[in-house]
Amino acid sequence: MSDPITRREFAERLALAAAAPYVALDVPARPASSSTPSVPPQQTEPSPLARALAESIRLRYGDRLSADDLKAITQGIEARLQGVERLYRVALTNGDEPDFVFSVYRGAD
Amino acid sequence: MAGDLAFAAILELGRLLRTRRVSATELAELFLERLERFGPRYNCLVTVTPERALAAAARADRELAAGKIRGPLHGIPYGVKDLVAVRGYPTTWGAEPYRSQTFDQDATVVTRLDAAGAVLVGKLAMVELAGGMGYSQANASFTGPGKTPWNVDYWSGGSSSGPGAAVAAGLVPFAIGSETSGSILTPAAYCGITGLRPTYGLVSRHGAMALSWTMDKLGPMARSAVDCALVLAAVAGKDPHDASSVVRGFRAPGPEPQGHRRFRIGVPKGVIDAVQGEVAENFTVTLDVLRAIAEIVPDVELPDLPFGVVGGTIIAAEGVSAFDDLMEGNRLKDLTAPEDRTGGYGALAISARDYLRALRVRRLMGRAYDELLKPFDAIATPTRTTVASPLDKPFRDAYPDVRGGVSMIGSSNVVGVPAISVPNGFGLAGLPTGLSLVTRAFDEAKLVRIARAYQARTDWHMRRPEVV
Repeated sequence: MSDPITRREFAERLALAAAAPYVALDVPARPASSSTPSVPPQQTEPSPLARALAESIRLRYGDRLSADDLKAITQGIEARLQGVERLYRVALTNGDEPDFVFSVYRGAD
Repeated sequence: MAGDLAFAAILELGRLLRTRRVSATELAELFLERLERFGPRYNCLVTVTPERALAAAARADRELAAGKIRGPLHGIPYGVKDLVAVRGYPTTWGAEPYRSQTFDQDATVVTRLDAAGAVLVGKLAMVELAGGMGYSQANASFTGPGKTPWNVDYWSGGSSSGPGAAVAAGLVPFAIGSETSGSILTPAAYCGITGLRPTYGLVSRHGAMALSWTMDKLGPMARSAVDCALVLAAVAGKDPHDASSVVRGFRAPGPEPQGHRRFRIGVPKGVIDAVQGEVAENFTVTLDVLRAIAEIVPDVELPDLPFGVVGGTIIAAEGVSAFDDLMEGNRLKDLTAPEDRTGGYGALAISARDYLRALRVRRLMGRAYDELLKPFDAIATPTRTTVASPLDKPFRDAYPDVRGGVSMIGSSNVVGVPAISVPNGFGLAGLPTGLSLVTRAFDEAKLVRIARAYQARTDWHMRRPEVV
């Protein structure tokens, strides 16, 4: 935890937690990137918001999901909510547009 | 002779074809036979395409006999990951719900390889939906877990599992894979082959399964960087059917001019801290080899930005939308991996605001990444921090002691820049390891030049697994 890379990796464990199990990654979550968790993410009690979001999924698809399925989905939502917080720590201005049509950036040489 | 042909480089096969020492039909028959005989051993084959292959090979033979040479791929057999549409054959996306799916036209990448005279011999296995539902172990395709030809108790990597194993075992000279976040580079490393993930937009995605419209890329997987460059040159370029494709094409780089400047390669800080021992050793030796052609700049600091969150949010939001039909038709339950059957539901809780925020942050990341890469011809890392995972364990339990290192797979995919993975040695259980090089957008030629120089000084890409 003594250098910037390690700190970032630590912070992004939450992002990887978000990737398991429902966030789509086409490589296995653990060794996928610099955001690899160095210890398994802690299973925290889901927040009221995570439970509410999971409830919205249960209301729509509950007839096909078991209690265990819903538990896993709720844990996944909770993990993602923790990771998404990092999105809002990056400073953006009103003029920073989304990449609706993504094009790779290359600046002047 | 047949064994040598199966592992020959594209340029060598081309020489043999043009000098009539072998015919395109003989090559097609050889690789069709190898695919059918060995493909099931590695769970790397979905469908052979003999009718199409033999017709294309016969046409190539006629043209070559008449002196009409379309280029270096003329008469060369190849395979495609089974998310690429091919008229007249199933395109399964590796997933049981799409097992009998067909399309009435070829993907652009197939059309372009046809035009180059290449001969499609098979459709190759993949992780179901390119891993879009968050698989966590190797058995995540209706064709079974992909097995690396170097040790069939271990995974071939994903999601381009079939292309990786098929090229490694000499079942095709090259293949087309796809990558959203690691699906070319990972199987390239785990199978001991070369994989080139192009810049987003350089190769048309038309006719390929969408997982993430803004992150999917198609690219070549082959024995060497030179072979990858020949394939990329044939498939790159603007396609009116794909709005994200770019006019800028790709030319395979010519021989290095005398006295060209040394390359400059950056190495991230902490890149081999706490990675698997052999991965660290092989990377260190690799840097020593690269010092003959490059200045190595250590301790490069990567941008401190939330690449993982941005990539995860974008792929999840786009992926769950891309597979609306599975969700609404209640067909996720038919997927192979148990975790994939519920993996998409959580993504329904991603808000539009979060998705848009991720897209906005990505634009800033692109600029930061370009600034990072600008002083270098490439940045080097081990492709993966470990060798392939054993088939009988979840990924997270495979190597619990390996917790460190720096991979740029996730971040470089988020911003869409290109990368290449080349084999650079062997590690645990006789499994290959890989070197990754990442560079600025549209600088694939630099990757090829550096990788080519590395492969001219080593023979890891020439090694063959025992295929009997």
